[in-house]
Amino acid sequence: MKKYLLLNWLFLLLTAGTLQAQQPGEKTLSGTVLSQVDQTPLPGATVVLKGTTRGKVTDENGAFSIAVPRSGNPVLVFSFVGFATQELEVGNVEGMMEILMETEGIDLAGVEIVSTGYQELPRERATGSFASLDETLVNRRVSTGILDRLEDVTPGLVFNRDRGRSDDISIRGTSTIFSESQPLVVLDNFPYDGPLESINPNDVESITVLKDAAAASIWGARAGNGVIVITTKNGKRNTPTQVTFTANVTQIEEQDPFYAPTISPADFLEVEQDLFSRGLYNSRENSRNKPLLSPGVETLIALRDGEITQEEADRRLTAFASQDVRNDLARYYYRPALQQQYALGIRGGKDQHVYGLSVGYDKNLSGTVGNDNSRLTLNLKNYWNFLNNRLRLQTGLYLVNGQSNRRTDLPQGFSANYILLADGQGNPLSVGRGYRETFTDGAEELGLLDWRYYPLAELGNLINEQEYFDFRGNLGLSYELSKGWTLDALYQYWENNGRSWELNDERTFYTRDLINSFTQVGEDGSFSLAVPKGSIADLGESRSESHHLRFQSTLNRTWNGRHQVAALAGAEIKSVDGLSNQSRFYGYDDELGSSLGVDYVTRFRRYHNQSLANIPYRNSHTGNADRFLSYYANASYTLDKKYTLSASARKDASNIFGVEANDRGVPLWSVGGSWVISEEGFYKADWMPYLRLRTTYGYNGNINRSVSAYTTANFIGGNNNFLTRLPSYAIQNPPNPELRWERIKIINLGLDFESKNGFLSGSIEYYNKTGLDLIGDQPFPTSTGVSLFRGNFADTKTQGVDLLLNFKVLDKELKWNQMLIFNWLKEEVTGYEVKALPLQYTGFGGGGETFPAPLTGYPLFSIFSFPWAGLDGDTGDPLGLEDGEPSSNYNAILNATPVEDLVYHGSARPTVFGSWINNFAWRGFSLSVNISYRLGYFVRRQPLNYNSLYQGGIIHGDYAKRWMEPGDEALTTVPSFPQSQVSNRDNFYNRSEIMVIPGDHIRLQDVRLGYSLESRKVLGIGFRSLEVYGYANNLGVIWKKTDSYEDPDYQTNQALTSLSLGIRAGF
Amino acid sequence: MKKYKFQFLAILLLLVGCDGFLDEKPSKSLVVPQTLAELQGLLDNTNFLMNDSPALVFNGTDDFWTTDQGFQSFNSIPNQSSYIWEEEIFDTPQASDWLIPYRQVFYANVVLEEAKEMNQVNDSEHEERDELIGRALFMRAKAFFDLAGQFAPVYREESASGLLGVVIRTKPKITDKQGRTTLQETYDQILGDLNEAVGLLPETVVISTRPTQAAGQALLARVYLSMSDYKMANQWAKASLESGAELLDFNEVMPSGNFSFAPFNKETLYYSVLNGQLFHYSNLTFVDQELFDSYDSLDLRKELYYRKPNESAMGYVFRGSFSGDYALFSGLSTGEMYLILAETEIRLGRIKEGLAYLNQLMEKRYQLGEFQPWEDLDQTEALKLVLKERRKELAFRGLRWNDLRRLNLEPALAKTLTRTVNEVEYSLPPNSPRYVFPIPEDELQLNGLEPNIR
Repeated sequence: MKKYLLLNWLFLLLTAGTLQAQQPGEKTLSGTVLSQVDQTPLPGATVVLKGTTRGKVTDENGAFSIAVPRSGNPVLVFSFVGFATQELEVGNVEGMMEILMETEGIDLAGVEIVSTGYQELPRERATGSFASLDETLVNRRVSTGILDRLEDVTPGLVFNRDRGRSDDISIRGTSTIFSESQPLVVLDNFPYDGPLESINPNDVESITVLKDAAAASIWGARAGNGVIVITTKNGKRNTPTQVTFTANVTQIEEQDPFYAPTISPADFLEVEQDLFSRGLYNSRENSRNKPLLSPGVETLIALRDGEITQEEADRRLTAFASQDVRNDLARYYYRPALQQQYALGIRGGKDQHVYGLSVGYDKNLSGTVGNDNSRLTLNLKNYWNFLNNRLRLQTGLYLVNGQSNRRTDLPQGFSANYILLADGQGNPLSVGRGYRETFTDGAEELGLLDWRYYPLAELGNLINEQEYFDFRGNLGLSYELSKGWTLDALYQYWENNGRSWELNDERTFYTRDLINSFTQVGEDGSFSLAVPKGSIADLGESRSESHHLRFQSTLNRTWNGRHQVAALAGAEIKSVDGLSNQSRFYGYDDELGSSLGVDYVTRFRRYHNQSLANIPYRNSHTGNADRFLSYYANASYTLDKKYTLSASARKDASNIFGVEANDRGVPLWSVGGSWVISEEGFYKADWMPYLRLRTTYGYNGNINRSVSAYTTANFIGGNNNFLTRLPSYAIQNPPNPELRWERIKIINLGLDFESKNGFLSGSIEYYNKTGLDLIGDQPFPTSTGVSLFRGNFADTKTQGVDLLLNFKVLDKELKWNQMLIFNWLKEEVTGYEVKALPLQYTGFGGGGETFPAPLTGYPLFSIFSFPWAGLDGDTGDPLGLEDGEPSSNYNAILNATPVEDLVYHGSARPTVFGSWINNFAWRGFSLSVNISYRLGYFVRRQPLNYNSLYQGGIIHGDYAKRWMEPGDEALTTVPSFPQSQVSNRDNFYNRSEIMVIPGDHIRLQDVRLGYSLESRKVLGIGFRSLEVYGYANNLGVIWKKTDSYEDPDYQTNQALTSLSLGIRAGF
Repeated sequence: MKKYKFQFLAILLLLVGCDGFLDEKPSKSLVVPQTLAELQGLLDNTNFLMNDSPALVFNGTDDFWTTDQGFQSFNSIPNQSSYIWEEEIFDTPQASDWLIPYRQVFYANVVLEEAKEMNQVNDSEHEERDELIGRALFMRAKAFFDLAGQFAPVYREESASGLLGVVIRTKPKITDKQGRTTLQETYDQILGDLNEAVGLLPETVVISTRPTQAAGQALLARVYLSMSDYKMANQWAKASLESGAELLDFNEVMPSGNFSFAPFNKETLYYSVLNGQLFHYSNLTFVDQELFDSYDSLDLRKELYYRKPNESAMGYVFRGSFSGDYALFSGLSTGEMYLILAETEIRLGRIKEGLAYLNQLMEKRYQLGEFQPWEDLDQTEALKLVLKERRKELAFRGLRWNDLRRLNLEPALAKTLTRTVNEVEYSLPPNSPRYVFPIPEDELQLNGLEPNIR
């Protein structure tokens, strides 16, 4: 880069003598060269008449004037470091010109402009930590949602898979415990309050991820988890209308019900026979509730009672042992999901008006038969310039309609895993649900509705429709007071209206069961219905809206060609209001549109057990209101394009904590600086012509809606106070006058570099984050009335490295470049005073507790376990350590093992992760292969719960590997099936060392193959560009550290492979 | 630029300054409970909270027994271990039998603190406020009493100052540390709260989950009885009946299905139930056979309280809860007051009066006209009789445990309990330290309480 700049100057110096006054047959053109981004003048840009040595350099105001011939179609070439060279035909141009220079990537991370949502900055002058994704990177993946597009291409960002949520992401670790842990999403300059699934990735032009204090502190109290700034596409000034069209289709592999291993039907049946012989079904068999017993147990009962012969019993049991309900699930319920996506965009701009219009449609058929969802998006953006470009009016309208239809619920409540859903002819079979079939079988003859459950007959019979309309409109007015100084007013209105409608007609077990169980028996034995016949319909309506108003003054100015200032100050106010209502209709008749009232007040005797119960009351109303008021300012100063200093500050107040906490609100601020070392005279490393060092320091904040300085209580409506129906309250939060906002202190140190010829470029950043006053739970002695108390109890410390490297391996006809993202981080909880119990520390991971118990000195998400002392050779009991000796006193082990004696395996979340993407291009072909890696973490294997087996639960497949006789302890680590229910035996085993495996693995994440054409006619249609591509995702694990069979990140939910085909065309 | 900035701020302040923009409630259903109605709402939180009492006291009693299979199907370790009086009871660091009463105490303390801070109230509000304070005090006292019955030894005047009671908290601020008080201090607090409550509680309530004055007096009678202070127990039981509490004539109740009684019947002075456990209503949880056999054939309770679940069942299961449902009633009833009066009159030497109270109760328990009143018994016989009737009337109410603790102090009335599970015999001798349950682990570790030695 520096090289080009020097060459330009040299060139101009040498040719200076040839610059002359205007000749006859020439005209003088003058104008200003501005940055497209912030309209700041670009002093020192060169203007050269193409094909000659004639040229000029712009002055400190970016102005130039140059003589050009009137004939011969003269072309001016404008160039400036960091911006794309621009050629302009000037044959017909007279007078003043304004040249907007577009920034040019130097192959760092795509775009060179970073957006904070308040301002756009050239990366050269940004001191903070920004990760940028340009359109190419955003479009590399195929997906309906926007967040998926960030994975593996954003340094510092990781998808967490330890809490069973697919959209759980962290940027540079987690610096909060119970507060919001997800990054703030900013869409077109405003925080987005709607559902992320309503953002169509095809409308996205670029994404900037703000990672440190300087980048994010402008977002103040909501910046603590990082900020994702999404900018949607618009037209560009002075470009002809362009039409783009995208279409793709994705097929996702069918879910395999056998993926997570479970006990085999034969083993399950064997257990049932064992429990039966021990009389352990007596209690359930005699229970007043008439609970469901499995066909196997019913067979044994019938045999015992002499109702069937031994031969008949054997025949049935043999048949059961060979059946598996999962075959029926695969056959009738699962299918490959199919996703289609279409998007059309029309964008362009004249000098005074720029517009962009886009329409998108997505239709997804889900992996369960009968269920699908769709999304329609419509965007319209415009801006107009008035008053000689000093006043700009911009408008944006965004509409989304999302729909989802559920016609099928997966069947549930199986009494055994060997039941069948259909007979040999495919006719639905009854499987029993809730009650014994001996009880439900006679229901119809008694005059009740059929009380049996036929899952297959319900397939496709449910009606569950959800729909939402999301509307966003914004209006912006920007006035330039003088060169580079603007006043802005921005307003956004957003609303989201949702509706859900669920109809369970009498074909569903749910409805028949409710009607039957509320059937009242009169003294004469006659029946009356408390829940009327007909369908049960649930209607939900929700409405949210927000207003957001911002006033801001921005200054972007350059003095004497060496002092550059970018500053802004402003204030904003925001309100979000949400209301939702849920109502239920009994006896609903969809034909007539009528429903019947029911008695919610009386407690009715239920038919099957005479217990007292109210008819389920499903009417509810909720309302939420958020209010924010914020002031902010941000400034940066650059000297000689070498030294930059930046500072920002923000103060937030909200209605969440109550006034006292606002009063204590600490302004969040940051300072930063950067230094382009390679511009210094002493810098001699020719092989690395660009080198820049930057550092920042400051604070971000985080909010927590669940705590308050006051004693707060939740209202419980009379209908939920089933006994008395008096309105009542439940205390949610004990008083906490000391409550403060969470703060995160971040130090960031970064180095940007590019080698000669661009062979290697990238950046490396080190950060150190300290979470202060974090809201944490503190276990409290229960004699206080609370078992956990939430307050500012925790601090955390995180340090890490984000490394991004781009290699240009080959740059000939065959292009080959590589992008390597490497992240390392180390997290630690500091200052969490009160210790929890060993049972709580070992609870996180593997589907146990959702929240970890923090322990000082260890990562927040840690995997601890109890030491393992093998299996008892006589009983097959798992052994732990009690005072250093092997022991099976599980209560003592679980409650009294000193925390120091627990085994600490490591973080539950990857500490080293990233991706290695290889891109090849040859002629029109492109191939991109992404290998991702997640290392340095541990996961707990899925539990084996014998206790649940005693209750008829279908447990983990490790049952087959259990200890069965002395000597087995040398071959297996799976405990024996215990002779009685001891829940702490299961708890110990599932939390023991032996159940923890390393999560480290490398995955062939995805491959994309494309073929593109430029400016061609295909099938008689003229294309500006055309790309045909295929994309395959979740291709499998290449290497994993553990010998265990599991995919560490997907123990229960399969990572389904998908294949997409698509085209992208521009006209 | 500065000038303009201030203009923006001025506009913004205009927009938000006037009407408490930041005071908006973040959620409709969220309140900072301060009004009388809101505070009353805290005490009306019956959903497994304010009207629940701990169930551990039921498990170790001779009210019931179960088979080996039934024992196996008890759904938790504390249920099993308390059934056979093990040394260790809890397998978890927290225990609902400890937590629920203390949560009631916390709610009551929140109400008391807020209610006492209320100043400018008018007359009708003043009365309402006093009633509220009375209710909170009643509920706090009941919670402390339930705790003392489980986690502190039985009260004896001579030793109470030297023994450990339970933790007494009278302020809602949870960060204040509080250790165990002496047994004397514990009972002083209970009696103090109740005495104050009785002066404030109303005579009538809309539903008996809220205490009346009679309920306050009845609870005082129950507390004094457990303290073996028969004079005071007698006095308060009498006071309690003075407000016109009635007995339910069991001739008017039809035995039916799984449950005989309707909830909130007229004998209910105060409604509470034992914290529900699955085995309470298991069809393998049988009434103690000796107890069952002690009801004679004319006694209506035999059928109203019990039924045989099926032909082959090894015993009878209970269906006589005043909750009208699965939950075992543990509240205060008129019947209990008659029994306290009968016992205390007899103990105070007024045998005739005592038997008269007992006879009044029995009239309503036997088939119409079939009951032969008792008379002419000596004190020992009369006492034995009344205690037997007490056990029959108040079976499955969670009261037996405290009766055993109290009666075991008298050698003539002491009883050794035995059980057999999986061919192993267990026994609980009178005055065993195992009549006092262990303090949950959490409390020992986080609060540094002294453990109960069992």
